Amino acid sequence: MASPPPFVAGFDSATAMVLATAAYLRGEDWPALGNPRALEPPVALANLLPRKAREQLFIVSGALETTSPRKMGSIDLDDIGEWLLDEYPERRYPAVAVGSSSGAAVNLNAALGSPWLPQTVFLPVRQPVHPDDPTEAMERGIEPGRELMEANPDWQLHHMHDANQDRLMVRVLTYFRVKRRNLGDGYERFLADRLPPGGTVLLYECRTRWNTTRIGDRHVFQHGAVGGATEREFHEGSERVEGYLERYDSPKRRWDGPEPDTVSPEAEWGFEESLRDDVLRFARERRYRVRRIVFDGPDDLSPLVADLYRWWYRRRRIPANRLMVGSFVINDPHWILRTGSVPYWMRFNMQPSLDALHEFLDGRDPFDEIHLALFQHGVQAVGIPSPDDWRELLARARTQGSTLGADLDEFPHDFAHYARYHRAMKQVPARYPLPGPLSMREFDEFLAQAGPYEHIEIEDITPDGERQPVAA
Amino acid sequence: MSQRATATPTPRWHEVRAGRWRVASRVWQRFDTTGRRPVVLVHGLVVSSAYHVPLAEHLAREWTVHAPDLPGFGRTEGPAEALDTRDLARALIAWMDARGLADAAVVANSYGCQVAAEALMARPDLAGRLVLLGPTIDPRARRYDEQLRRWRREMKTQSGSLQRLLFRDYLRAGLGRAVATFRHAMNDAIEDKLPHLEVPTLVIRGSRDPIVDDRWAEEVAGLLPDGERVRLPGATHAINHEMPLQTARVVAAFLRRPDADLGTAHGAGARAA
Repeated sequence: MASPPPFVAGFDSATAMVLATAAYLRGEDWPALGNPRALEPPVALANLLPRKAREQLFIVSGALETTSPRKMGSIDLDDIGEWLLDEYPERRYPAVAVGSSSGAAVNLNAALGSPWLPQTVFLPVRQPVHPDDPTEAMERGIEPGRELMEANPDWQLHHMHDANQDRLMVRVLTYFRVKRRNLGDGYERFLADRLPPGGTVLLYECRTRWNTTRIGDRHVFQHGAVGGATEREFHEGSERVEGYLERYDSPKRRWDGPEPDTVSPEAEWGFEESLRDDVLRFARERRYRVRRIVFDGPDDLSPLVADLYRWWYRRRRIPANRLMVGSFVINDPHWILRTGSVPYWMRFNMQPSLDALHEFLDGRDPFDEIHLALFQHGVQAVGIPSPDDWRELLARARTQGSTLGADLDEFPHDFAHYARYHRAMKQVPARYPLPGPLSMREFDEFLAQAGPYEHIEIEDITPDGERQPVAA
Repeated sequence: MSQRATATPTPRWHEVRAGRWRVASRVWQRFDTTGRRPVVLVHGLVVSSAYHVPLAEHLAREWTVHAPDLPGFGRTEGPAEALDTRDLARALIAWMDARGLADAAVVANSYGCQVAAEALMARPDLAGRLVLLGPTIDPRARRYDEQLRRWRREMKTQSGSLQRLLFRDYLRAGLGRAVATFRHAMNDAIEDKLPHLEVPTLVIRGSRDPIVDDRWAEEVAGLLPDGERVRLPGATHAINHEMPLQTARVVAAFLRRPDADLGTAHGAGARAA
């Protein structure tokens, strides 16, 4: 077990997903979002504070993880590869996943027993800007971004500014997300050491894209992010945006961002395709099969993964009538499998995630139980569902629908939930042994009888570059 | 094919930049080898190309022979930290590219077999024939105590001249590098790579080799898509130095066979663009 390089944020989706996956592969669970357990009691008391103080606490927790903009030129992003070599158990795997972040993919990796190497990581830079001034945010990112990119030729930078969901955090930090353009020495070493020739590289490619402003050869600025508000609302405003800015006493009534002039992979989720070419080159050298799993959005994988678990439980003679809904970084494959739960992962906690979950339930046999973990980000953002909307979802369970220790009346300010979800998962009655990993052949068998899934394409590429579509 | 044994050319030292390294190699250059693959001799753990000289002298009657010192060994400077199998394979690839060697006959001994397998898996175009002399490491014996036991037994089989040569090479490489490279050898699974080497391959095992037993040699040949096995009676582990004439005869016979006579369609490995 190593700690991540100091410039990587612990509250980042990719970091959290790596840690949860690594914990599962070590046979451990993942409490308190990977923070020290000692913090659980004080965090559980956070709800006693007034809302303003709670927001401050959340902001401080983020500010503690920032890097000074003056240090950008001395950061070596390839340290991430070294860290992952230590983080995952040192053994050989039948498959290793590389690419886009997705909580559904975390559960798929757990099922297949494969570690995951993220393409994108988040680098919070200590630099306050007014949340409703994207243009200033962009300008203040130019110089640190240039230094970071000069020091790291194999990476590209997506400076992201989301005044909607990250309203609290952007006051103290600038969101730099960096994407690997190639495997680099660290990831190549990981694959060479841990994936024998003939093994499979699972390549997750998320097609989510965003209109961005180009700043440099490998540096773009992204105004807004995937979530409750639409991309158009960020660029052009709307009644919902006006109401939101009024709620937060902003001097603005719409966001004036820089003019977009290019389309890029979305900062947090989207896949930069130059990595694929490098993976295929390396696969030819190491005689790996590459399985591309291509999806429109990171939670488009959720129905497939949920169905896979249900199929797998039935095969293991385990009742598959319990749904455990994770959201954003609250997701723990260990307890999902120990409690025999079918995992459904929501990208965040906004209306589009809720709608997709309803749609998933509409097309399936009803679940007896629904357990809900709900990410809390402390902002009454555009497109946020009400507590009653969540209650309506829980009411779809045949016998029991409940949150995993979240108080819906406090949503989205219930930070105590982070300290409670783990215990709540453990209180779900039923214990099953952790299964051995599903083989690729079993995965193929499932796919052959399951598909097709909307928004997902799967294809295999042999070491010599022959392409074969896989049913999905 | 009439093969008239001719005089052996005098070896020369050659140096070329290959990737990060300046790689030194011995070369026995012939000028009458049209249609014959150049031979590349890959050395094993901590030794240098020096112990290949006896075998090279025999093969050089017919083929141009190259014997490189991999980075950190012999005359080639390496980094302070020992390179692992993959890095050594990359150095070998970079050196072959720099020398313009492709479709060669690669002959490797001991740990050199692991380096060659790693290199040829990535770049099948580099070799048209492969010869593995006493390939390591038998996965059943991939334990430090067992390896040490076998290695001590192997030392007892070495001739005085080989021991002197080894002693000098160990001094040049340094004990730290020797230990670290051995660790890298232990972490490398040649058995995973063998099924992916499409090149026609000959596995040679000396009947008195304490490091490689018959069963493992047979497994190596079996794992290869196009592998065959020869047992050299009375031969030990470093047969390229200890029994060069017998080894050269077997290798030469294998190299002389036309591609059409060999098992699989030759040239399955598509050339990297």
